[in-house]
Amino acid sequence: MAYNPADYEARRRGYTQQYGATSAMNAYANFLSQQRGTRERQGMTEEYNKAQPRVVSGYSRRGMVGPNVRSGLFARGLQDFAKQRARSFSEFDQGQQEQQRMYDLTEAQRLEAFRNQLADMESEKAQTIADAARQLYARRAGAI
Amino acid sequence: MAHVPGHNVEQSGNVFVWNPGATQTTRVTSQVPSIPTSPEAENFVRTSDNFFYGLQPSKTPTTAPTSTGGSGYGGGMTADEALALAKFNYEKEQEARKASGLSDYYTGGSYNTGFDALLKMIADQSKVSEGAIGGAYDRALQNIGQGYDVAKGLGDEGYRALNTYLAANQNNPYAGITAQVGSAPDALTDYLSAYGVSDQPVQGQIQADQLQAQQGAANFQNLANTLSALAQQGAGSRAAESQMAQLLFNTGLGQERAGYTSQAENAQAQALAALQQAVYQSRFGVEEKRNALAQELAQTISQLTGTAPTNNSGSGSGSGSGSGNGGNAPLLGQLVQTATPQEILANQLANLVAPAQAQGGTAQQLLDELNARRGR
Repeated sequence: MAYNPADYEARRRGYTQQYGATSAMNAYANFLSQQRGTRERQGMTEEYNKAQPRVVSGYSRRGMVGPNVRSGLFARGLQDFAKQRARSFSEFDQGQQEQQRMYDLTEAQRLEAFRNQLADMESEKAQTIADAARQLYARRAGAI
Repeated sequence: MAHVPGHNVEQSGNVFVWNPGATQTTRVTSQVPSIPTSPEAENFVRTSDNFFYGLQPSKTPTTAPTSTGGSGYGGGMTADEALALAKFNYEKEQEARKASGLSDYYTGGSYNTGFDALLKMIADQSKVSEGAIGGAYDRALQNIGQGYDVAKGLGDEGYRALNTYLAANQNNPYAGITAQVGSAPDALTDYLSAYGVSDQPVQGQIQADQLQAQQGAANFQNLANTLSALAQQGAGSRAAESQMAQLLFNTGLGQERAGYTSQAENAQAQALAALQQAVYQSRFGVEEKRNALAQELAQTISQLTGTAPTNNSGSGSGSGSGSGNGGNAPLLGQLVQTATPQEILANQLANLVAPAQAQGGTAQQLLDELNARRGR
């Protein structure tokens, strides 16, 4: 097999363009996902912020909370609200992180595959050059 | 009858008989008679344009000679008989001249000249061809050596570029991955405390969730570390494969060089063998023709003289016989040496002087050597 630099450059360009295009698409998707997550988290925050007064007012209408009044039900209800809020944010944040990790892992695997393609091509090129050198040597020695 | 002695003609009464061996010692080149330098001084008689070689009819022949030539004459010869006799003598003399010339040509080795020239041409051409074969072999070795250097440089350059690329592009994309745990959510501590409510249950749950998140991150980090180690192992394996491929390339190239060198040596040996065979065939052909010509000459001389000649000359190829007869009388059927004893002695002396002078020998040493060779 004769050494053809144009072939290698075309292959390198193809690998790079494919990797670059896919990376850009995935990065954009990841950006949109993060943006969507941020908006969702903001919405959750707003909803919990709005819910806090309603929780207190509910216990207040039932006379469980007020000036000099601190019922155990109110305290537990308020703690449950805080725990639910914390659980919701934890799960949401963990979901977002896992999604980000998956993206990072996928991109790392794609980058590894891309670099392997280039390295394989470089190895093949070196082998092609070596074969060409041996063929040239055979011609020089009159063996062909 | 005024017979001239010493010309192989004997007289018995009135009969003249051709006897080649009668005056053998008077001539050293041949057994056949020859014409003297001055025929008249030796009683040869010229009549008109004809010679009466050795014969001078003193009286008119009365009896015709017989057909054998061995008969005598009765009392005189007629003119026709004298003419026939002259013709007979002339033809004999011509044969004698021819035999003498052939004998000199044979014994002197002149017929070897052309063959020696051919052999020299063959030897010269052999040297030229041998030199050409050697030159071709040298050029082949030069090509093999230079081709090896070029091929090795090209292959090494290719692997050098590969190694440089691999070193500059370590394929370990997992090295930068770090699993992080997100910040803990707000426990609404201030809000709860404003109503005199403790946040301990909330903090406990948050810690449990954080612990779970940390465990998940650790698992992911382990996965990333494992993938990173695999990637590093792959990169190291690729680098080792590159070095192994380069070693294999150089080893194979060296083996090919040895093979090409061996092929060139075999080709040279075959060419030299073919040349040697061709030279031997050519020399054989020349020697064969030389031998055929010598046989033909000897046969012709034998037919003319009745005796088998001896070739005393040496050829250019060293196939000649020994020198001379040492002054002894020639054996029956042998042609004597052309050179006189004085010439032979001078020749021997010259042969002695040349190497002795080259070795710085003295005159006494030369004389002693000469006497030793002569048996004194």
